[in-house]
Amino acid sequence: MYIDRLVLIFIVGAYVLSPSLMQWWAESGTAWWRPFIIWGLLIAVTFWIARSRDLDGF
Amino acid sequence: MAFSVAQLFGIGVGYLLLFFLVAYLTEHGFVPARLVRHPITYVLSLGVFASAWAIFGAVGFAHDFGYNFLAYYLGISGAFMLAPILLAPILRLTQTYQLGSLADLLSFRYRSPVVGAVVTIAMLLGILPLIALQIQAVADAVHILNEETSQEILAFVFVVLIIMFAILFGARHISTREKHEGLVVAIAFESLVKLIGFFLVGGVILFEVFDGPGGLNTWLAEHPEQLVSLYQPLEEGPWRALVAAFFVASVGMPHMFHMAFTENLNPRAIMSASWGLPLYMFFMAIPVLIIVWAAAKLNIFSNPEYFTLLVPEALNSKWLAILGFAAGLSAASGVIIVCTLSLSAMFLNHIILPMAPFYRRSNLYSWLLWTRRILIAAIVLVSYGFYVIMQNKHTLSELGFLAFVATMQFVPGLFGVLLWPKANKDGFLAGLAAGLSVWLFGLLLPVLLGIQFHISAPLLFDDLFPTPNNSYMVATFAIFINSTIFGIVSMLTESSPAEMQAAETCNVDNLRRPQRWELSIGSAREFVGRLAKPLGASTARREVELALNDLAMSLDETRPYALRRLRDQLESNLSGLLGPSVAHEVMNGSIPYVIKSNDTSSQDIHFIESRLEEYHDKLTGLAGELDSLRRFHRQTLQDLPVGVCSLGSDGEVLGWNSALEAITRVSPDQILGSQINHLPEPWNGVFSQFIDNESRTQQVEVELDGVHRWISLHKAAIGLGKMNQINSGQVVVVEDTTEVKMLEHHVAHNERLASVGRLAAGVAHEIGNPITGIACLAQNLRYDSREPAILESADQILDQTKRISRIVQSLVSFSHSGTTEVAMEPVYVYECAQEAIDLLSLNKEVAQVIFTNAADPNHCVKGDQQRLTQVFINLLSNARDAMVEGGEVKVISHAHEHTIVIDVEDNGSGIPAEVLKRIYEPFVTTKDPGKGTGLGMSLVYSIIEEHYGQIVIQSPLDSENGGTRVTITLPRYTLSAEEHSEVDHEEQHEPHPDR
Repeated sequence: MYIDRLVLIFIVGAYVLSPSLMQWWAESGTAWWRPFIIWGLLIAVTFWIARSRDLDGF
Repeated sequence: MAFSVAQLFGIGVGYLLLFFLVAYLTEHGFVPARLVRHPITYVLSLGVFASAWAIFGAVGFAHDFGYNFLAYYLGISGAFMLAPILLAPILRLTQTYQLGSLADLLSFRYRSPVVGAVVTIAMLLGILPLIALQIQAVADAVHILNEETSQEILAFVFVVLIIMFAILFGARHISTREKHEGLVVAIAFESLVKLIGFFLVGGVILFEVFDGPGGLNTWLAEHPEQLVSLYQPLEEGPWRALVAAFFVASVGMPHMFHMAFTENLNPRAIMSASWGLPLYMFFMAIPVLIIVWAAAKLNIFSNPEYFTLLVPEALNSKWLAILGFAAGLSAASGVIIVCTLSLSAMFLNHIILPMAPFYRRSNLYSWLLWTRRILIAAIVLVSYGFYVIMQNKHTLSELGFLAFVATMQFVPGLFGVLLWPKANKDGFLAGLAAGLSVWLFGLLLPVLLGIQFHISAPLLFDDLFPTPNNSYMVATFAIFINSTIFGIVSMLTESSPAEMQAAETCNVDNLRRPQRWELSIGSAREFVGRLAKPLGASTARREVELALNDLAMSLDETRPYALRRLRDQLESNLSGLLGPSVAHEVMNGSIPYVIKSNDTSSQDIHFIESRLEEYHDKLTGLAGELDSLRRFHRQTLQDLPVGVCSLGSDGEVLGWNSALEAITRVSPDQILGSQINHLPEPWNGVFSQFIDNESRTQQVEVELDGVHRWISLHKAAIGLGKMNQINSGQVVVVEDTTEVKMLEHHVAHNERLASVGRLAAGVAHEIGNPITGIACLAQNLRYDSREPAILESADQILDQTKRISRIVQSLVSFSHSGTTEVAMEPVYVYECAQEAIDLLSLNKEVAQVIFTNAADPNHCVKGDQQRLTQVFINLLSNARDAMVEGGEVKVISHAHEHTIVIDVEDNGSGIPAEVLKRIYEPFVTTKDPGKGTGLGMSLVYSIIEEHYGQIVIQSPLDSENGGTRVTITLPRYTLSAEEHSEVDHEEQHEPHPDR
């Protein structure tokens, strides 16, 4: 169970800073679909990462 | 637009029957295995997360709390996006140790049945609201579509169908090692139905109500307050608490744990789930806002949680309402079934089994199965009771939030599983108790019973709990107090040794297992006897056989290392059957480990190595470099051309390289992990004696398959620790010195022969003079006497002296061979052979044979003519002696680029095989005593060697007719242009006699 501590710090950091992201959404006025765009991009990045590496240990 | 009861009942039951059919077809092999194990099936089965909340509750939540509704989707998506680092380790643990639920995982880590029981009860308390939410959603949905029907009765029918399905398809096998493929595919199908249903509802509403996306944007521009109400609640704060709750649900919720880990048919699919589930949730989220805005446009204000049904109703679209209803029914049934299955397994393993005397049951498996089925029914019925008690007073969001906050209380415990080895049972239980108390008094009781508490903490809180605006603060406070107490108590209290071992097993960052654990058991067969007491004889036998089968071992296994592995495998398998706590108890009671305390020499090398091998591709940086170094040294040892065996201080074989395998014919698999005295004979005797011996080197002779071999052994102590003061065992180096030994024998033999030769030469030299004297005297006697008798005696004396001279002459030639320089001049093979034939033909006293010289007169070799003629004389005379009168000896030659090959072939009696082996040794002969000296072939060999040639004897040529062929290969003489012309010139003046 080798978990990179840097990744963990990143997760906690992103979680703590998420209200700033919320504010950015809120400023966007009529672009209600903005969170969906970010979400879609995140899915694309995860897809790309998952394609380029296999799961170890199974 | 209203549906009749019969219609709704038909739709509901019809859908559930379709659900049954999918599971049935999968269980009976009608669905291809490739599809069943395909990552897409896994991803869709994880879609079970989208419960009735996703279809109904989320719409109401978006209406009330704006964009906060996205926390439900983004929380779980975030957890799965991080699956390779967060969920894969848990998956690995659950698969290796067959842990079927969160209670199994936590009780395995904290090594306590109490932990399992507490987690089970807490989970049941936390999940009851979630299951009740599903029942309520279905009942409400039916009520909206047909207001006349009693919700309770319909809900009850629904509940009964769900119980049937869960028992039929979710509890077919009792062990977690056997998966329920039917259940997995049915849940995946259910996810597909709700996705299509919900997406279609959203799509149709978009076009029917807004005339497409353009119309929606125009409407939103005209109604900016809709967007404001979307963003406003974000600033109020519950966002983070919600995201955290749904993030944790990926492991904390029993239905997610069950589908992600317990029923995982393809572990690698978790990589696909890292983007697949977020994508699924993405599509599930899109229709939510469209439905909320459509309701606003259609002026529907009441009951926002059921807009998914109310908007189609307002549009008067019956089939759209049915689609929404089917999606909701599908979502609700999936969650109830999987949650119940998981909870029933937890209840059985952590509450029933530790209390119920299951010992010596002959039908343990069916007893377990039936108990679990009863538990399933009981849990669903209790949830139904909970739903009835609540009397529809609460929104879906409230119930869902209660459940998610309850499961959040397991987060500190999970942190201990993955990242913090110091965490212990006391810390976990104390933290959980504190967190759950806050949840119970701050959320559950106030929501259920309407009691409000006034909590006042200086500087922190001074408020009435809960109110709709501060319930998320209760959640945050619960997890905060839980984590704090967990950390403090864990640091202040000590972990038990078993807990520390489990912590190390879970935390793979740490590969140390300080002691080698010994077993007080001698063979795999003994396991059956020991386990028969708690499990009953037939179950014990079956479980031991299963574990042996998993490890590809036999019942006769005796190696300590193999027995340790067998014990671990048995515990894992029993854990899948009875839960980790009971399995641990059974194994500890029957086959306990004995720890050798404070003995650093007994490190479990196999354990460390196997763990390093398993994780080597994850080691990075310095650890990776060190691992590469370890592998290099290990490979060096493995490929060393001498045998190496390393032994632990107790004589356990820790290393056995391939050279040693070649020498002993004992493979590493057979002996690694065994005591050295388990080696087969003769090696057991050799090694045991050598290890006990004080001498550090030893030479032994062993007989292997009837062949004698010489083995050389060396040993050294392996020192560990500072200054090598701890003796950790020995390393034994084994070398097969048979060839060296044979060579030594051969050299000694040759030395003896050489001295005999020198002696013979000396004797021959000394004998020469008296013999000459005797011969002169015999000649004189012939001239001096006329007496026939004396004359005959003189003749005989002369004959005998000639014979002695001949023998002496050959001895002298033999002793001189190799000592004089060989003249390297052109020699014609034909001429040598002819000269030898001419000489031999003079002797008329022996059997007359035909000599045929078929050598090519042009074939010329490099060498000494005299000596090569001697070779032909010896070979031809040997051939003649082996033949009867009239036989034929042929000399043939062939030329190659650099060599001339000469065959001397006869059709005589041939050479016996035993003589052929030693034919070049001096004094070896087949002739009658007195006829041959046995030096002829030896001399031939020496002469050919001096000429840098080779000699090969083939005999017999033919099994019936005998015959011998001596093939001599000599370097070819190539004439230079000058020599050529000289030779031609000479030939013109002095033509060759045969041409």
